[in-house]
Amino acid sequence: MKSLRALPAILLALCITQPNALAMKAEKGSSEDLYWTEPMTVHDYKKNSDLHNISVSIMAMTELEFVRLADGLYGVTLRTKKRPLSQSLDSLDYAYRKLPRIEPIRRFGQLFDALQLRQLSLSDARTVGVFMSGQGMGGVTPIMQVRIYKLLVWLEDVIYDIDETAMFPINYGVSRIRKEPTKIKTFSYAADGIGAARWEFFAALNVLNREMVRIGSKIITTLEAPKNSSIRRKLKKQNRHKLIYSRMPIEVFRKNQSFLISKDKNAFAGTLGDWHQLMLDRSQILPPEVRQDNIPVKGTWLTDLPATEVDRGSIPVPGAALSRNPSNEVLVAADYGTWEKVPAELKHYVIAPEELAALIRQYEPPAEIAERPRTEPVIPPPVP
Amino acid sequence: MSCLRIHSIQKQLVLGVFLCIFVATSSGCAHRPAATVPAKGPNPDAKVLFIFVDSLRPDTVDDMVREGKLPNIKKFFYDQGLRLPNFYSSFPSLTVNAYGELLTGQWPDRTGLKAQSLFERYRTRRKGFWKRLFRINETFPKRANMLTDVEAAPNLLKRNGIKTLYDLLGEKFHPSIVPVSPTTAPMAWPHVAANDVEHPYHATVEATQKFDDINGKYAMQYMVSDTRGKLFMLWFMEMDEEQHHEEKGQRSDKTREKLIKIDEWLGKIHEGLVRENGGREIYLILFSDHGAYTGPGEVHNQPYHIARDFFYDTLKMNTRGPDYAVNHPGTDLDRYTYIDNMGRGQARIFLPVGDAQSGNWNRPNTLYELEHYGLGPNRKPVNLIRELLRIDLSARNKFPGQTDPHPVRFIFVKLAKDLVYILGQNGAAALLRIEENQSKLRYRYTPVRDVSQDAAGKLSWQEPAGADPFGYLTDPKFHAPDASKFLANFHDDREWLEATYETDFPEAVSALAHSFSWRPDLERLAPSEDPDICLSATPGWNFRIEDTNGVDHGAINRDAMRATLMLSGPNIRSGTDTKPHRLIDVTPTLFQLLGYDYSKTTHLDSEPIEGIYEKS
Repeated sequence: MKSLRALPAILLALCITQPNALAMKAEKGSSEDLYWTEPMTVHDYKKNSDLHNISVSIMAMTELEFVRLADGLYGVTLRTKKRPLSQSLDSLDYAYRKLPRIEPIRRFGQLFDALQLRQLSLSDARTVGVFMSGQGMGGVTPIMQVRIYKLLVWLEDVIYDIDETAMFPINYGVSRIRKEPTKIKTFSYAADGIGAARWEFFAALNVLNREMVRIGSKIITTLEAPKNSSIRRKLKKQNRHKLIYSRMPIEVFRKNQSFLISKDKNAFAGTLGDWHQLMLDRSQILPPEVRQDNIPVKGTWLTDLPATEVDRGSIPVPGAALSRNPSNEVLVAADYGTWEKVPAELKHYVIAPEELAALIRQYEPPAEIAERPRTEPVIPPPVP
Repeated sequence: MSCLRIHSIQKQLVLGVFLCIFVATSSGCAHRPAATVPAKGPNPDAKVLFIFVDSLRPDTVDDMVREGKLPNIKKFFYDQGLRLPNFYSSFPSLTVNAYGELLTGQWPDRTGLKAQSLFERYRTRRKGFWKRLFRINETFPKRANMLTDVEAAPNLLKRNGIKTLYDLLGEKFHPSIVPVSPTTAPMAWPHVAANDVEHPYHATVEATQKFDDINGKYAMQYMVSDTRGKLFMLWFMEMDEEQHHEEKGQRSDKTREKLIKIDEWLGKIHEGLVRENGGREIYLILFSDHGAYTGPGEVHNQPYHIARDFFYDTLKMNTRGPDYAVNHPGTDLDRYTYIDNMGRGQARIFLPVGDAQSGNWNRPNTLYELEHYGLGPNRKPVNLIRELLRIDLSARNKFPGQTDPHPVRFIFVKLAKDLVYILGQNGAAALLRIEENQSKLRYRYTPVRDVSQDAAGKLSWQEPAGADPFGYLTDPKFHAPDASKFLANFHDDREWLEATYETDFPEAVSALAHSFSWRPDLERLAPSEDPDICLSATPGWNFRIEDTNGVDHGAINRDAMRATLMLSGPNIRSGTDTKPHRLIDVTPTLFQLLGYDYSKTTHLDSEPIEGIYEKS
């Protein structure tokens, strides 16, 4: 899980931010699986083909050090795993470390480190190119920022050294007179000023970098949006015949039935009694777990059958409650293409296929009705 | 001729000047504050290398040192240095909020950083300037995954007016990539990452897998040479990542390999820092933010996707979390419950008021509402508290007889701003009362039974109860002469820690109280950000969405709460300090080591750990 934490940091560090909606593995039969509902996106940080990852990779390529590239070229050409340039620089570094740690040597080392010569990379070439062509500051890459930062620190340290050297006799004398260590500063104030300005400037630069990165990420997310829409459209078209079941009071149904029942809309509505009868007459439109296959099929109305899953775990389902008077409510089956357009109010009445099955199983028809053969379900007349 | 003489004089002058500078700067170096140390207390002008190994358990370190696998850790913290084996994290035992405590030295009730995910029911603050200017809409409820939304936690702390290590120490604080940082990554980090990965065209994926190595290399290249830094903080998180997918957790070779690598980095970075520090010794701290728990007998935890299997499948609710969404086709996608199970040993559940379909996010539900929770117009209301405790996974339990089949070990519900209801799987219940006295919090943990609330909101319960959920009444390791008497009174954080630190639920009372309460200036956030229900998983289970076996944290039990703290350096005494300590004690100790006077710039909720220095 922590890699998730590291990932946006890496992405941001490598000049791109992670969009909030991570690609997920959708649960089978869920709205995400069938219709790619939010927050599913094509962005998938695990895929190398992901646009964000591609952008990061391009940035990462420009950060490659010349030393590494030269060693790589040498290795490819001579088919060897040796890295002569890196090894030589390592030896030089090792030799430097063996020198006594006196101030001038340290300052020289610090300057060498601040120049970041070993870190010279393609991005530096890009920066130099930008400056040469006079196209502004847009190409000041992270490692160039590091270089400027470190050089400023080096400069401050050198000023401190000079100040300390220059003031040494005075500080020594004053300390002896006062009998306590005393440090009178002169040039150091300038170094302090540079230090404070450096800190503030780079804090602001950090914010600027972050904002630029965020904008970059938004641009990529915008580029991904049409692909998201196209997948959503395709999946919705593909699964538009999946049935959505709902159960609502007859008043609610009557108020909204124009959305459901018309020539070009695929919906079936009936009372629980109708559905029960339907189980006997047209079991193929019912969820498989309640379908009675031994009853001959008399017609084909809605043939796309719902996928149901009821076998997850052994937890008892609290259960759909049968109302006191089931005839006062309507059970509706509508295909997703139709249901998608109904008012949000109706969507609260959605029930799962297994709930429909349970309701039908629980239903005990009145004796006289149970005996009466039924061939067509009752569809309440549309409201004019 | 004269020209030659002038040149010669110039040469002599230049040589003289250089010689002067050389001698003076060399003497300047020698003159700087150095090895003169007071008999007690930290070295002045000290540097601190803070090694933060995510989730590292102290017993894992003990084991590996015994096996001779961690030579550097042994050298610094066992042959010398101080170990604090009774060091505890907070609840939920998660990285972002635990690290938040370290950054601020304050309890979550003061910072507002209470978990790894932020859920805001409604707006509690004015819209930002730019959003007002450009009329950008903000929709509520608002969710932020603080693991992936890297700015969320720093923004939250800033918004709540909290000062952190990075605010206070400025350039003296030099972290690698860490869990909470306003700058996300140090400037040079991307360059190191790009050059460390084998295939730069797979940089993101590879860099994630080589995170620890990149941090180590970054430290060698940029921390060692930093002349301004005093506190160098390195976060190693691969071990935690690995253990979540390893059945043996921190006992597996693969996970332990990660610690062996960290040990190597520790040696190298220490050597580099000491070298660049003119040979002066530095302070070393080995720290972890929390521990990790397994099932009984060290069996792995089994995943239980509570959002999918209980809320979605059983209760037919749409669910969302920090990194998933499971919605029923055809339903209103704006009607959902939010389950923050990021840090899979716990889950914080946020529900619309009264009914899953109500869409009302004005406040958390009352206990009565939770016990009569509506599931929409077509379903019977359900007693959520009872149903959660009743979840029985016997049919899929891989370790029957060893792992309890009920994945929910504890339920916590906030009943009032100073009252938390604790309900255990064993049926035992307790009320945690919080009182504030002169800005100090004190708590009373009272075992009770038959807790209920009527529709009007009136609470009732029965006392006394024979058992308590954390088992303090009967635990021989509970440090009080008479447990019942102790529980009958209010006690402060220190007293609770000392009483409970050896029990199965150390620090649980304080940690819960700080997790659920808010200090007066942040109290307004409570109705918007408090969870309705908070769960702690049973050892042997987690609330993972991935189908993997491993170990976890987030829960309130001993293994998840017990973390690592070891110190070493000039004047730090050798041995073991068995006194109990907690996460927020580290921050003032750090400031003390750095010689930073925090009293004028920030408030800390704790004091430096006593007795860590050698006696004169």
